[in-house]
Amino acid sequence: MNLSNIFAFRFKSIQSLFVAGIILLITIASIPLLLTGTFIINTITSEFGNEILHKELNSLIEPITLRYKILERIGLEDSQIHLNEIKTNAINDLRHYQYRKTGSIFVISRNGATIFSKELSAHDASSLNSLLTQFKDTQKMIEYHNATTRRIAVTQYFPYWNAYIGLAMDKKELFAPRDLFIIISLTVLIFMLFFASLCTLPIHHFIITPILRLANYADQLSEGNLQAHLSGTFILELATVKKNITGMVNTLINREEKYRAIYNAPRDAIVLHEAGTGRFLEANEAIEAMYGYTREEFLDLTIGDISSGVPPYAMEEAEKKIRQLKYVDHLRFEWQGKKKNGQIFWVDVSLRPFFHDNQPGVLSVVRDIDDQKKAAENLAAEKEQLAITLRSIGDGVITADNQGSVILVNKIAEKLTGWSQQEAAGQTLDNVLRLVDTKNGTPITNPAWEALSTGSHIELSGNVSLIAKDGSKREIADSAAPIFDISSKIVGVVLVFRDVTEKLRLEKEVLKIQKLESVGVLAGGIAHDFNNLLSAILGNINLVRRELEKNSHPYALLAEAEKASHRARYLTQQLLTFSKGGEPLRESANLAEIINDNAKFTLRGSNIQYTLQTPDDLWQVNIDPGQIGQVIQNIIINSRQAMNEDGGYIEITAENCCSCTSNKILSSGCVHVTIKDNGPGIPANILERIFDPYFSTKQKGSGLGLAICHSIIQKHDGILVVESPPGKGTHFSIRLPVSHTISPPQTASENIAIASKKQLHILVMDDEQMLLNLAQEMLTVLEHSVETASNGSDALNLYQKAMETGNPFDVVIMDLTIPGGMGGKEAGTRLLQIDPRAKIIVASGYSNDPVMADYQNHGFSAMLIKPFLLSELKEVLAAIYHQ
Amino acid sequence: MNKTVLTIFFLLTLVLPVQDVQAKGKRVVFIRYQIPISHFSTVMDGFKKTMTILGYEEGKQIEYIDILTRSADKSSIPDILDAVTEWKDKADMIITCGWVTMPAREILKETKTPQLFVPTLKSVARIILPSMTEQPGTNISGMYLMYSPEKILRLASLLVPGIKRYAYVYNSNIPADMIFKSAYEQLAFAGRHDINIHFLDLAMGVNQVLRKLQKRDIQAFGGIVGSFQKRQELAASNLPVITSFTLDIETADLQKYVQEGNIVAGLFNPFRYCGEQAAEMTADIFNGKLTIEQTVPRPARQVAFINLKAAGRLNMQIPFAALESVDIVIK
Repeated sequence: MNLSNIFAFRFKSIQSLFVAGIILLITIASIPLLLTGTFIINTITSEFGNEILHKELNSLIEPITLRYKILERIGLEDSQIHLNEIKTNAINDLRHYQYRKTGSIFVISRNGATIFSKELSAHDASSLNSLLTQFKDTQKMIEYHNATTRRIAVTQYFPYWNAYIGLAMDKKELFAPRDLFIIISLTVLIFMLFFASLCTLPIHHFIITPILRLANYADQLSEGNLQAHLSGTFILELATVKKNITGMVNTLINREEKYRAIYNAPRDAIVLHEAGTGRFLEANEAIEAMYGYTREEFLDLTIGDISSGVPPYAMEEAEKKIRQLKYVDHLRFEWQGKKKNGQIFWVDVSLRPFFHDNQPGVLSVVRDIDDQKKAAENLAAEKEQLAITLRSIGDGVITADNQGSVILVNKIAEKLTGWSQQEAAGQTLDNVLRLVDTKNGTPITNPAWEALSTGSHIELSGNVSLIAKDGSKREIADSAAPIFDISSKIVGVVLVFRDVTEKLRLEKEVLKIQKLESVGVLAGGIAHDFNNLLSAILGNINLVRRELEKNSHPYALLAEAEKASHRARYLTQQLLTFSKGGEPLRESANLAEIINDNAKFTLRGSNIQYTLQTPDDLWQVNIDPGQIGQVIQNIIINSRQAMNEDGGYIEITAENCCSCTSNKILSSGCVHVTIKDNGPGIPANILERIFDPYFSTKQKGSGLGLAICHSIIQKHDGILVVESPPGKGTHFSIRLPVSHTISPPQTASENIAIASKKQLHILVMDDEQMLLNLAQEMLTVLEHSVETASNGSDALNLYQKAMETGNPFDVVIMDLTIPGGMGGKEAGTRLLQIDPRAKIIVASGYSNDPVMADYQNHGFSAMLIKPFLLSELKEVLAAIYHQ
Repeated sequence: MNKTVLTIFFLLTLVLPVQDVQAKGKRVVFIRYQIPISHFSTVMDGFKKTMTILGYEEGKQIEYIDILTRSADKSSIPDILDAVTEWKDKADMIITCGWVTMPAREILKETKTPQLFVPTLKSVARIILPSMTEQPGTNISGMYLMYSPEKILRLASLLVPGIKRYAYVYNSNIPADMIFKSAYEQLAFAGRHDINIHFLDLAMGVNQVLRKLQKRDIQAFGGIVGSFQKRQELAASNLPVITSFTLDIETADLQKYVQEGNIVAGLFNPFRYCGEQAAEMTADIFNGKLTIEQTVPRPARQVAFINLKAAGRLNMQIPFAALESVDIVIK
């Protein structure tokens, strides 16, 4: 019989289990008692035995020690005779001593020599040394073997003999009580086991056999045989148990029928799974309607067979979810199922762990939600579309319920209010959309409330600002409209608003520009008239000076007046430039003079020193001197205003540069002008903005000065940059292209000489009689014959008549602008139609007028900027004549 | 004629073997000094008797030369030196008793003749040999007496509880007394048992000593040779004498010497025992078992006694611990 058979035999019935249990119980109860008792007795015997033996040994050694002590009292401790006598007598006494039946004394010297022993003399040297090692621990009881028995001993070191004195006895004698206890205990145990075995016979007949029958009956019930019959005799409580069980079975039959009806009633499929594999164990009848499989077919399938197979709706994911039930008590999810006919449909699956036949299982309830799912998807798509639409609108949109609680905030509204959708949802409208009067900052009632109360569309009047979450303020245009449900009941409000800050700013800027243009036009008009007046003043001064001695005082005074007139002419040019922003009238010029004049002029009356360093061979540049002068003035004005009243220092340099930049135009050579001041410099954060129009750090600054500079330099194909190293003031750098059309160095006298070679017949057209007179005077001085016309029509008539009379005009000088009449531009065109060879000089105070800047393309032979000097007139005439 | 010749031959046969034995026997020279009671005669007796037992019968296997100095003090030193000089090359063993050992040693250390001191104080023996428990490695060994000053003071503190002043009474003319005085002087503090030791010299006169004993409020005193000689005069001090005897007193004779005087307790070494032990050592050397260099010195037998008679006279209560400790109680 192998071990498995024994095991099977033992637990084949309650009877054998009972017998085994009784034996085990007795054994379990007895053995620990026996072992504990034995252990306790053993311990007590050891401890007390050790103590008693030590005491006994001490009682033997103490008198001997006393004898030695007595010797010491009187100084005989070194008397060998006395010492020998004590030792001899003591050993003799010890030799005859016997403790109980087997106890005796032994004495072994510390070096291992046996002084005397009845038993240890049989030990060899090695075992004796081993014992000697144990003797050194005089607190313990030592155990050893002699020839016949097992001995125990206690020892004490005796210094007078340099030896160990030991008291030894048979272990058996010392532990005799323990052995007696074990024998008695075992006898009682065997008797108890025998008695217990006898008791099992009646127990078997009256208790165990009926219980076994009950167990057998229960087995049949558990196998589903509810019709099983229970027979035999049952006594006492077992009879009651029998009655109760049969009653329970009847109840169970009734309930089983009821629960099965309930189980199959719902439309939801109910499936029991094996926990580990997910294998189907049971399914209700609804499974057939849902999947198309019969119950029997279904139980042979796997979860994979009834899943769509589209990831993640496959077997692997299903197993994963079943495994998750180890950690949660309930799991619900949607699943894509597959019917027997292959149709894919959505189901709602609810999983719950349960125990079936003491095995862990999973209960799943499956509901067909295909229709519901499709409806939800459609609804979600519509909702998503609506949300996307709302969030994509370019205006800010906020919707709120009828209590003013925010529901939706679109992206623009998020940006304008600073509230995200998540933050704003549930907040009141007044929190999210804080409106104030732009002018005085007082709060404004949100139009949403009015829309909600009145049910009508409300628009905000102007001057409304929105305070964003971060405190920033921007002007908005806002409107609110109520939201109605199907029954026309107000269910909420929608606010639509947009940021009009930039729009208003632009409108203001346009207005400003328009104003500036108006001012510019006005300035241009004044400049034009002023130019005409200057032309008369400058021309007449010019003529008078011709009549005077060069060294005379009046000549010098008129020279100063002429110079002032020139300055006035430049001012008008600046006015004109500012007013129209026109193209520069380029000419080849030396920058050194322009820089010096403008710097000196600008810094007049200030405490600011300046230096100008230029090489002698500074290249000519092709510039509009007036505009570049304006640039120099604006930059220096900027420096002057930046420096305090205690003065400062401006260092200006101009130098030739062969190829200073990658700029195509400048790469062939430029003049580099640097203007450095020792002022406070420009903060880095505004450095890049100083050329922006209307940007100014000064309270009364127009913000146009440096913008004009930048514009002028750009129109000259140059570069203007600014740097402001910390603590080193401001450095402006200007690069202007070098002039490659160097004007012939003709002097006025030479031009005059050339012009005087021929007496010309010249027609002058100007609406100002004063200027006509002056022109006539000048040309007469130059020995030319002159006729005048006050407008273009008269000029054309005169020209045609002169041609017809055979005395045509050699040159025609036309004013570009004739108020209320034909100006130079039209008259010149028509004149050239009459006489394509006509030489026409266009004259105007609008130096930056496009016609003046590009006079050749308009058919003119030359141009004169009013006011002009006699020498300039002569020079122009000479040039035409030369042509 | 023939009868005469035969008689002469017979007489010669009687005489010649004696002469032969004497010629082959060992010669042992005893040098001892005059010291009561018996001038070390008990040492000689014990020696001779033991030698006889061990097979050295006097006049046959062994010859004894006994030299006794004229006095007990330093005046005897020339006698000692003469005797050693005479016998240093002719003796098989020279036995010196007491302080005689020291001057004799000065000559014998240059020879190979074995020398035994029988006995000397242990303090004296230590001057000659470095150890009393190891082989000497030179031509001297012997028996030493062990009544050190520390033991006497220990006995005094046992008998006179709380004693603070003890006097050592000596005679500065007696080398033995001076040697013992030196031992007292060199006694370590721990060995004095909290007793202040006073040194009183009998050479200044007994009366002077008695006055000092009284003036210094001495509680007990002792000595060896000098004080023993003046024991009856010193009894007038009525102070207990706790001492040691370096005398050749035997146990049987002890009672006789302590009948009178104030000797309450003491230690002594029976000299006969020393003679017997010296004989064993000598026999071993003569028998070739050991050489003198290998012969380890031996201690004398020590005996402690209490004289209840003297204690009674002085009204002293003797503690039981003292009574149970001693060998002899004189009632």
